[in-house]
Amino acid sequence: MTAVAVAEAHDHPHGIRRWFLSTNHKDIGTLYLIFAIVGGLVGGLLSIGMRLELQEPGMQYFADGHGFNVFVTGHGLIMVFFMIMPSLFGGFGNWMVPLMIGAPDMAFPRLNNVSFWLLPAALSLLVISLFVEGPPGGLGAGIGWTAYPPNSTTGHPGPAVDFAILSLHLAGASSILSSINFITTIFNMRAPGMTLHKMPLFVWSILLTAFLLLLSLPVLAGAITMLLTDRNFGTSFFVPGAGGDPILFQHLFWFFGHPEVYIIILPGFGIVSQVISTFSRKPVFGYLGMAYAMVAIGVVGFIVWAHHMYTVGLDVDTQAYFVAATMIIAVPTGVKIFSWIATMWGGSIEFKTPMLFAIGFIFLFTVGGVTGVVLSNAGVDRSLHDTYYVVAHFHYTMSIGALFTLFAGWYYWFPKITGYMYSEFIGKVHFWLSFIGVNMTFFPQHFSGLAGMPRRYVDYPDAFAGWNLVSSLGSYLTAIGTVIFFVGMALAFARKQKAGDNPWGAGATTLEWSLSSPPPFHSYETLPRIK
Amino acid sequence: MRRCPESNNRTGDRFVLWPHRSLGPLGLLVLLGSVACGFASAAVATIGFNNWPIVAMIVPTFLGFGFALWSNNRAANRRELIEITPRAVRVTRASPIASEAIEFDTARVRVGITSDFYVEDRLTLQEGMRSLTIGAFLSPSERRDLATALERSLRTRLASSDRTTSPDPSATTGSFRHPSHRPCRSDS
Repeated sequence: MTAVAVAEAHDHPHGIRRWFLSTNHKDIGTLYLIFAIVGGLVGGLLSIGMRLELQEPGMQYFADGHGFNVFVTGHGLIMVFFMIMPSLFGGFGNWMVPLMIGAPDMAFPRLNNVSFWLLPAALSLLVISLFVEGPPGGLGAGIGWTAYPPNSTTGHPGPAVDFAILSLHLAGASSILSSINFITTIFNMRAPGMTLHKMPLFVWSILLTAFLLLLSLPVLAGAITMLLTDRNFGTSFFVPGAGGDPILFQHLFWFFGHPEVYIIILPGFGIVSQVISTFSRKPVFGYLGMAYAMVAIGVVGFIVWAHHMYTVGLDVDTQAYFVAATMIIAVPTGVKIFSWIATMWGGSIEFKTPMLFAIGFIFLFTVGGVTGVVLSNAGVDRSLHDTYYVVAHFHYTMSIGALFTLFAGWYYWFPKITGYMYSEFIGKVHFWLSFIGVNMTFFPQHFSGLAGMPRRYVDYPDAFAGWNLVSSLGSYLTAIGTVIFFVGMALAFARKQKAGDNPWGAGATTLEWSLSSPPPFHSYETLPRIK
Repeated sequence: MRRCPESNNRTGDRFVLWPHRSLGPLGLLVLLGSVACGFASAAVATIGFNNWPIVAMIVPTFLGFGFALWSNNRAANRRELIEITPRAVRVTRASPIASEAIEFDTARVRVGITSDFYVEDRLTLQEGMRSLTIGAFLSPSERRDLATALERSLRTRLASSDRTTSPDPSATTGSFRHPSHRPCRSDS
């Protein structure tokens, strides 16, 4: 047998060795995507549970407010750490970054494997936290994703919060290892000729997200470690009676938490740039402006954290600084929105499903951005703080905004990843149901919030009933859209309609489209040379 | 990864292998410095508030990041020079800390590709009981590619040594050409 024949016989590891011990970036990317689907289903079911409860005034399904807050906490943590981040950063990042920069794989393939497998362990700890004691007589951690003390310390003496904290530690470790891997890969493994200013915008977005994770996660890790020692080892970092300061935790949390918003949405920006350029059949307008707008968003994102804390008693000058700094973020964000529109302007636009989701994202993100400017004002924020207006704002930006970029990326790269074409009709039905559904769900929450409805409550006065009903109906419509999505995917795998190497035509110009669909197990037989 | 073949019919074929890296030493310093500044600003801001656990998290993260970049770049300083003459196959390995040379008999050496649990398509030179793994930093497909080029070169060298005792100026070897081929550096 010749050497080549031997090599082909051993080309693919199979079974457990392929999926549990994989060091191949595409397989690990697939694992991330499957994991995110599981996380999304769990988090989505929790949100449907909340909307069922809030459909009418009064207590329908929950025995008390704590159970509802456990759902709120689980939904928030799962969607952020186990759905959006694993899919956009871990899934598409792993799949596409090496392909787009012409690298044979990630710089540290085994580290990549470890990064992924920390996540199921982290999710397991979080799920366990739902079933162990939190407050006296109650199960689970009802602390919100922010885990503010003293609610997360003396308010929850049981081990549920400890499980949640350890879950965050593992998820954070996973993200830090991934970030180190992505940064090393993107800086060190680019093909000859692939300079930083020739990298696709999706790669830029992953690079910047990796930096944000690397710089912000250690602060979260430190903060929740302090929480853990306050709870279990007698320290008093956040105990005012012993010289500590609970506001300190809020500062530390939001030093991580605000960049986290951009960690969630930056990969989405990259996906939308690729999709809009492809389906407008034009290079993206203002490439360098787009790349450095993301850099600016990342940098400024680190110095605006206290706009989440206007009500804690910050002095007026500090508030004025955070108002101004927060408003400045609108500038690079506006550069991106206008550049996407300018890319479409005069282009030969095809309204395929990925493009619909990308345009839908622009609408949703613009709505969320406008309400963000409203909330950046400290005076206005004081009256809207912790109301449904804030819930509507952040869902428009980092939740459904990010979700729409996720679907845009999914439909865009599905033919490349699987080798099969999906049904455009079903994709478009999915888009319209989702678009109408999410707007029905969250737009009325602006009205509820302006009317003063507070968040994280299981019940509300009758005056808020109308918009809550609309909101709940919208969430059911979104759920139906999600079912349609799974039907579409099942059909695509059942029909096995082959996708071409480049099903999107001349507009798709990045390196991954030069490979077969699906790409070979080892992407590049030789290093591509970029002119 | 870069591989650079040279063919000289008097002395034989030379293959120089080194891992490809797109970041130079200066870029590495700038990158590490930027990240250090980012971490330092976060650490300095928290030192005054008795937040030592933050620093305790930042320091290992930065060290881990620095170690990853350093080890990835350091791995690129390795060189493997494979010289094939009618009489001998000489593999010279140079790394930042050591250099070694191993010789095989051209007539007896075999190019082998084997897969085991840990390494896919391991490329080896074998002579009797002796076996040497080469191109460990290449991707599996690149190792297969290199194996083909080495086998071709070995056949050509053996054929030329059978035909004549003096080098035949008209004979050319099937040299391995890589798309990223650039003039070879004299780094052997």
